[in-house]
Amino acid sequence: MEPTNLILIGILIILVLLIFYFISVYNRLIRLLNEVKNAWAQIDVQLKRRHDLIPNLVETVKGYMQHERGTLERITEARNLAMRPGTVSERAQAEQQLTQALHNFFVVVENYPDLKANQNFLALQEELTSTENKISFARQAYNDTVMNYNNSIQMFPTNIIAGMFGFKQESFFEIQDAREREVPKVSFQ
Amino acid sequence: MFELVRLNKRRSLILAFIMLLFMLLVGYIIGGSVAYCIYLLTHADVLADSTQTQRRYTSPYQTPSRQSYPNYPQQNYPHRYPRSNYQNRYPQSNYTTQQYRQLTKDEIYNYIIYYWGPVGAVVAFVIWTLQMLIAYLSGGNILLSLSNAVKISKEDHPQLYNIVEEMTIASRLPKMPDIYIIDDPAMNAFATGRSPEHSAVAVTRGLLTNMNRDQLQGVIAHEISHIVNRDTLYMTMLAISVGTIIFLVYTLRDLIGSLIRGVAYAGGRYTSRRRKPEEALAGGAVSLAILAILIAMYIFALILSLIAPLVAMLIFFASSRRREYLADASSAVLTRYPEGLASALEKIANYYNKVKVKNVNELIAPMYIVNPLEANNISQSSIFSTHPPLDKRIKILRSIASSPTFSSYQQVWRQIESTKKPLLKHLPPEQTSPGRVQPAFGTASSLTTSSTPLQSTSFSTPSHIPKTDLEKSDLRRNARMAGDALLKAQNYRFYRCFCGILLKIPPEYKGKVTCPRCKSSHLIE
Repeated sequence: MEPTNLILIGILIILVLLIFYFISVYNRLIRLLNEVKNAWAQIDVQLKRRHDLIPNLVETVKGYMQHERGTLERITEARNLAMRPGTVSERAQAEQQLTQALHNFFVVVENYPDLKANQNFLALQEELTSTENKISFARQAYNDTVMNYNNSIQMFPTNIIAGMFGFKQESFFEIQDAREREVPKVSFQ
Repeated sequence: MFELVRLNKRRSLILAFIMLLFMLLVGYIIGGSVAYCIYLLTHADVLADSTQTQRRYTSPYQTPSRQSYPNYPQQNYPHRYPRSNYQNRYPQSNYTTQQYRQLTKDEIYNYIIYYWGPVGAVVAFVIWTLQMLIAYLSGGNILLSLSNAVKISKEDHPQLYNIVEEMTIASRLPKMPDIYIIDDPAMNAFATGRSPEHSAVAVTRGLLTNMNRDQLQGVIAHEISHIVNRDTLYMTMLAISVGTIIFLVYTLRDLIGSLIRGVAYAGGRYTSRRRKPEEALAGGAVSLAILAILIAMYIFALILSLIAPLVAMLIFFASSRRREYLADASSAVLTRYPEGLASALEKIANYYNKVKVKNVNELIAPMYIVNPLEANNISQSSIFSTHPPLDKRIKILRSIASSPTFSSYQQVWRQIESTKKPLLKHLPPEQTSPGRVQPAFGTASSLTTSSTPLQSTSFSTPSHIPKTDLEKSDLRRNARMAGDALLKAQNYRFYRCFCGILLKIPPEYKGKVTCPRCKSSHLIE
């Protein structure tokens, strides 16, 4: 065989290998991106579940908590606000308010021993607690997927391929409310 | 999490491969030994020279050659194999004599080394494959039915179901594992399943009644980590290899044992009777020399049946302990709350000697959260333990309370084990993403079980990250937290000064400490 032919064949093989590499990297990026999207959707699923639970909760508790009308109204209000369609940041803020309202509610509940003995309420409380946890874990999982995705987009040599096909970095889920991030101060008095 | 599996797969594969090779070697030895014993009985005069002159005709399987028994009635001789048409038609032909030619010593050894040894290895592999297939297809059902586990739905135990669901979300498993409850007052839990799609988590009733929500979450996270890290499949594979090796060596021992017994027994019984060729093995047919060789073989088999399982178990235990540490670390990372698992383990340790799990198979023991068979596992562990000692596990978990990441776990682990070896060869990219989210109610959301008011529980999450540190770069913060974890492991005490600075006090120190920033002094008892 002539040397020029050999060189041509060599170039061809390298080209084919390169194409295969491109395909595999592209597919991996797509898979990671879909994981990110899926993780985001999971958060919505849990938020939706929380919205569904709240009317039940209010119904169960109403009889017991005559003096806490305000707290219950705040929860319902926050829920309605969160369910309204809007931009992501608006909704996130509403969800934050709902979380806050639920927090206050569960603090207040401690003053009602007969409510805490109600089986129905206890079951609901477990559901809500779990849903809150699921929301946080879904966010945690979302951040993990985003990190994986961003890592592979930024790292060499994948970043070249990512740049060619216009893969963009995804943003992490961050707590909007600065107060929640703060570590509570404990006074020594 | 899946990166973790992928990055560390090679090590596991090498270990599994070594195990498999060892199993094949044992199979080879056993195939050879069995063949040797049978040849010894059938070709005694060839193998043991001393018998050759005394007795020409020692076994039914050794056809006397035409030269030595010229008048032997060919037709009546009970052939081992049905005679072919060819042999009936041409009884004098070369073919028949060649068929029954006596093997030479070299040929016998060649047969053993190149034929029966490999056959033994193949048999071992076939047994292993069959067991593996059964285990793979049943997907841990055997294990679950062995321990009388009952599958539950959400209505049966909403809290447990919710916790498993939470951990499934956190670990991004494609499918939620099935949940089983074992009606047993002891506290334990295990995971099974060949893949995340066919997995199950089983929990004892004792665990459910004794643990609060956080502790249960820690335990479930540990079990889910076993599923995520594919430990269930891997350990099943290793366990089956160990099981096959044990089965093989015990079979060899029993086989040789029964051969010896048969020989001795027959020798006494048939001496006065006219011997049929089949019974030639019996009676005086086997000389003392052969019996001695057989007994020597038996002793060899005995030693093999002691050593081979030992070696296999050592490989098994070593990888099991490592996997336990890994599952602990993963649990801490998943829940971001190592204290949950730590206190759960502590509770189990205190409760341990009182109640033990029933229906435990030795080989499934590594799948439990603490080994149900090792009673004194709390503070000491040997090379024969499937699980690391509980107090070590608890100590590591407590030390990384402020930064539940793999790298800090590994750092503390290294220090406690005092080795330079990495627990993981490749650490996953650290999840120091800016948005690490603490669960909204705190992970310590034991609303239903704890009597303390919500405010205190929900804020006692491990996020004791000082405010000033938050503004620093993540890298520096992490380095600091890992350093703190190390100090904590050495029993350093931490005090927070009024100005916000964290004072780290050596364990033995007593007296006055002056804050380096605000110069106020503290009295340390």
